[in-house]
Amino acid sequence: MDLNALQAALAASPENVPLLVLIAKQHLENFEIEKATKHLEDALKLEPENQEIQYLLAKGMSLDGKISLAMVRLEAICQKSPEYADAWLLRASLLVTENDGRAARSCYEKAIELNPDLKNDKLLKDIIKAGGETADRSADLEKDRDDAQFGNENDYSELNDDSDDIIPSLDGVMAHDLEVDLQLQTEKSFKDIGGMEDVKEEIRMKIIYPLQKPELFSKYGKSAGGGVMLYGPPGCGKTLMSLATAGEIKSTFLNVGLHQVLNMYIGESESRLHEIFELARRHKPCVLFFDEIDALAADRRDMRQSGGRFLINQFLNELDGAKAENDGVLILGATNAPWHVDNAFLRPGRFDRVIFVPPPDLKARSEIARIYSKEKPVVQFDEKEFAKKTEGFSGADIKSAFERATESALMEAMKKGGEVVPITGKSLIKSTKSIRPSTRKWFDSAKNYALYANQDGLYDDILEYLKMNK
Amino acid sequence: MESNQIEQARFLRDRHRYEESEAMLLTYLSAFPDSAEGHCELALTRMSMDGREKQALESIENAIGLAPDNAWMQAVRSFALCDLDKWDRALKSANEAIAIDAMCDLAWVAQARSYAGKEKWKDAESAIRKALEIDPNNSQANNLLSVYLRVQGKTQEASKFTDLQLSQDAEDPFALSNAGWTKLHESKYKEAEQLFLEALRLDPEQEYARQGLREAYKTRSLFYRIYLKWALFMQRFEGGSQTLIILSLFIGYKVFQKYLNDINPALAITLALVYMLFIFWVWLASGVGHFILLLDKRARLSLNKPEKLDGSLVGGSFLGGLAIMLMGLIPSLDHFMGMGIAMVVSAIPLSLVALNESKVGKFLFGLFGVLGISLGVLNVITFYTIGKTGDFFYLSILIAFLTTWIAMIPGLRR
Repeated sequence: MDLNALQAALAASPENVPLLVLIAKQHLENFEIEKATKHLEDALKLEPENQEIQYLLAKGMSLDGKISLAMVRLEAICQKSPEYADAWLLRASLLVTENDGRAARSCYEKAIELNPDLKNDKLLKDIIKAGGETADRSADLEKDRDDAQFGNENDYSELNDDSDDIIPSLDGVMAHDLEVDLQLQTEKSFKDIGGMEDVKEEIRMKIIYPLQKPELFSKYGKSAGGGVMLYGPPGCGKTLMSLATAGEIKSTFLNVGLHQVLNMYIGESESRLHEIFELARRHKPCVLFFDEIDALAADRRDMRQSGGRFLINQFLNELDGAKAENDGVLILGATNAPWHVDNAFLRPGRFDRVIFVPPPDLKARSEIARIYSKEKPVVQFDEKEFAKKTEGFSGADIKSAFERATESALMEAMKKGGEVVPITGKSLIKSTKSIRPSTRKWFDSAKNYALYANQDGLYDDILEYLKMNK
Repeated sequence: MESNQIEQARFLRDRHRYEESEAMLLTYLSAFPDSAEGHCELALTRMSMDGREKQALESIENAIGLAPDNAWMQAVRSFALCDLDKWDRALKSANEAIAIDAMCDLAWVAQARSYAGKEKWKDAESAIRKALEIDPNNSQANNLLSVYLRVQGKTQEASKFTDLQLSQDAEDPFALSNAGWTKLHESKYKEAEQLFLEALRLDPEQEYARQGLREAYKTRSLFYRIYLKWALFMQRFEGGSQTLIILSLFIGYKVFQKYLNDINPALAITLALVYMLFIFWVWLASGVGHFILLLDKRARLSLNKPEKLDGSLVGGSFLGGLAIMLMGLIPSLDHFMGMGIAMVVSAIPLSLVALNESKVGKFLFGLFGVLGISLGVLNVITFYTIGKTGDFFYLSILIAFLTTWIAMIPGLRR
């Protein structure tokens, strides 16, 4: 069918769902994934329950290499409409790419059972090659997929058959729709972060030990959970530290950025925030991480519009657990500008524990340098020497030093007709001289807050870091 | 959809996320390039970003191109021009805004700011009073009126407006700073210090308050207190009147010196020295003040890096030179006198280095300073090599005088 003619028809009838689907299918055939997705999303807004649209979106994602996201969507379709044979078949082919032959076989058999016309010998061969000689019935019926990113067996062990088992898949879709990163088990832990021992110990004392030994801490009047704010210069590992914290306490990690809340119409921001909290509450124990918390929890004195205040009030309500309990939900916030956070957020029960994450220390810089040097032809390189020369550098600054040295080596290599020119330790140290640590500007501002607005000792760590404490 | 994006851009700007606000507006403008509101919002966002003043002006001019009869946008353009120190054009734009809508209080505030930039305090006062007639609750106008009254020496009336503003909002950092500056005018330094600290507690990045706090700290030195009184006295006059006062002082000095010379030449020499010190002090007071703060453990913290450098260069050169001059009074060490003088006078070009916004000026005056001191050192070297000083320090004095003339070129200061 002529795509132009279809589009002309769509212009006349922009809310025609079958037409939107037809055009999307044409785009998919032509591998125009972006255009197809756009039409499908338009169609989905008009018919959110339409399984065919959901299926085509999953197909688009799989063609686009977004296998995990496609899987999540397909699982939801299979749960909601188990008669949808095409979804089972596509799921089978995706499971093959992940070498899960047995689960793929059971999905394939389910698809064929529903629609024998879908038989595909080549796919079956691939399934067998991937270890799918026999089907693993549990793979699709008794437990949902244990995709590394979205779940593991333990998380689902307590689910029953009739309703709750649907939740993880649907939550995966929900997380995707909210554009938040939901990780049922994080692989990172403190072992993956070199140095920064003081910060790790502070996190252990303020977050991990209270969760592990609540009785002991309660005897001292300290409770587990609640909110903790990490602050410090940009590019110094606040997000990584939060992820590793989730890994240490073996909890689900929900990573929320500013635009995941503000992405839609402003009126909807509050409901998105509520949905995110609900999602976290359903996945207890959960670390709910808000990046750039200063924007979501901004000082109300800075607000010229009432719309912004509604969102702040909603956030305060969610933190207080006015509508639901937050036990088992640890709320972490990271910010470069703690001074822009409304004071109400720093009251007991909210973000009442504050941790300063300084620029990487000597050991951390050495570790970062080691990681970057692994990926490049680096010779005569002493990481410790490099770390000594990069005092005050953020992780991003160190990366930039490596990039500059790489560019110089590449230029020389090109001059020599393509011969590989190694990056020397000397050239790496030389490249650091042309970089002004990006953390300096941050400390210039932070210093003023620490000097003049530190009545409650919030910025004592900055004074200590700058060796300005009296 | 349209208004939603603009709304979100404002939302981001309110949260100090200027880059994201700018990106959102640029996306919006790529879809709706003829939206005057979009261009105007982009200008407002850019006006909040460091070093983006020129682009802000471009944006607001785009907006005005699409909506030429919008008084509010004309006023915003005037503000953008004020940010670029283009006072005449800013005034013109403010006048256009008033011509379009004389009831737009922002237009009057823009006019007042333009006049203030030209140091026409009376006109600025009159414009800001018009803005307050339209909106008596305009806190920005209230605060500015207090500033304009204070610089004209009307400290009591300024206090009245500051108190009024503080009665409406006791935590208005700008009003607290205004109160601090008024106290400085009234020589109530301790009270001024407390008010500036309170303003900084509420807004630690407010330069107006930090500047006031530094001045309050510096007044711990008697010499600086005298200088501050003089500077605040001079501030109340417009540029032309200031020149007239300096010229009158010079003529008065000449006449009086001649009169004293007839009575007792020693008195005339003393007067000449006092006059020279006064002239020099205008150049050196700030740097020496910074040097004094460097010696105070607490006050030192209020200085930023360029100010610390300024204190080290000017204070080091001036006070170090004075010490060497004193040493030169010892007969056997009199060959050091020239070096001391060279160092003292070289503090003048050095006072135009650390805080100079012009890179060329920074380099040129830095070179003058180094050259001046080197000539002093050469004076001593020649003594030890050929047995007599070469009197090179006269060249240092010449360089210092030359500096006071060259420094009048605006391009070497901004």
